[in-house]
Amino acid sequence: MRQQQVIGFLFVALALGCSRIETPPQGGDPERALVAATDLRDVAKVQGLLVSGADPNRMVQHEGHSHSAWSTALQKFRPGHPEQVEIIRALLKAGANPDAAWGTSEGSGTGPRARAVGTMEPLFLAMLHPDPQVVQAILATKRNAVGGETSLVMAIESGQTRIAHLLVEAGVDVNCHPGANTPLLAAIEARDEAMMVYLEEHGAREKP
Amino acid sequence: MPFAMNVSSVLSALLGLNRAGRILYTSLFVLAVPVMLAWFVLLPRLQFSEADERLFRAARHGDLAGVAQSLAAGGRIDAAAPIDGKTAIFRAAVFGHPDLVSDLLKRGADPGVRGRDGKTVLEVVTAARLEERDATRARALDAVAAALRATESQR
Repeated sequence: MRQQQVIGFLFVALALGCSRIETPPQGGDPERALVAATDLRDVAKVQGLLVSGADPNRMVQHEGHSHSAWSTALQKFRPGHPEQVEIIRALLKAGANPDAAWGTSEGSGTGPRARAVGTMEPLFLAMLHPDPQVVQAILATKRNAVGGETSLVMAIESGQTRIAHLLVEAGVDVNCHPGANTPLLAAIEARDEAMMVYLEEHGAREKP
Repeated sequence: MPFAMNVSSVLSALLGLNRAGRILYTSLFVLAVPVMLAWFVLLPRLQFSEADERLFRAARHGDLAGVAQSLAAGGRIDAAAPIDGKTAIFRAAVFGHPDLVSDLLKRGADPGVRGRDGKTVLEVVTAARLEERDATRARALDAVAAALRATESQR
């Protein structure tokens, strides 16, 4: 009797656990066209497809991997291409999730785990090829988008002053401690005196 | 005979041979984790006072008067920062304040302290100097390194 209860309990726990795993959103033909247009940086076509209802968050197979238009736009972004910023703005306006982008991560190395399908943080993806306009577009959609703290430390470490200012102005805590470093320690390690003063003005401390 | 039995049971407990010994050593192992955490992480954080915070801020800005004030207010010259374990002299050094570095050394700051990354001030400054391209800042870092080497040779 007791064994049955234990097994029953385990079964319920398993079911509860599985229900929390998000199923990857799969798209159809409109999404396939949207991902292709995003990859080709065709602003007009992207806007047209979005108007006709293509979902930027749904994944399709593209170049052998699962990608949503949203993850494609962020991962293929390179600074100095205004049309890509246009596309990112259009996707956000059409409901791209500022907290999560479904797609295949561009992992390093080989093996089954190097490329994993799942959600990535848009702000984090934006920091791989940083451009203030992209960060601003995400923060304009959601002020406290996921990944702001990590992005702030990354921005300070790589000397992206404008992006760091945008994140602090959007309300990211200057005394956050997302990884090994706080923003202030990142500024100290980068020996960025102006950034250090800016963070101090916003209340950054050695003991966060 | 009871006395001898006591001695042998205590001995075997200390060697971890009987039940009491197993309980003793298991609890020691289990307790070691929180104790180490408290000692190395929590205690430095708790000890880092408001005066220490001001000392670090003054050190970052090369503010000699501010350093003197915060030390007078109870700041500890070799206080380790809660997160990276570095002391005020590291802050003065990386921002290129040779006067303040000499001043801190004169006041008894230990130049041999290592941060959590295992580096001393001189090592950090040397690494920073290698990647510095700005001439003025490079000269400031050279002056800091010279001040640190001067105390090292005195010892």
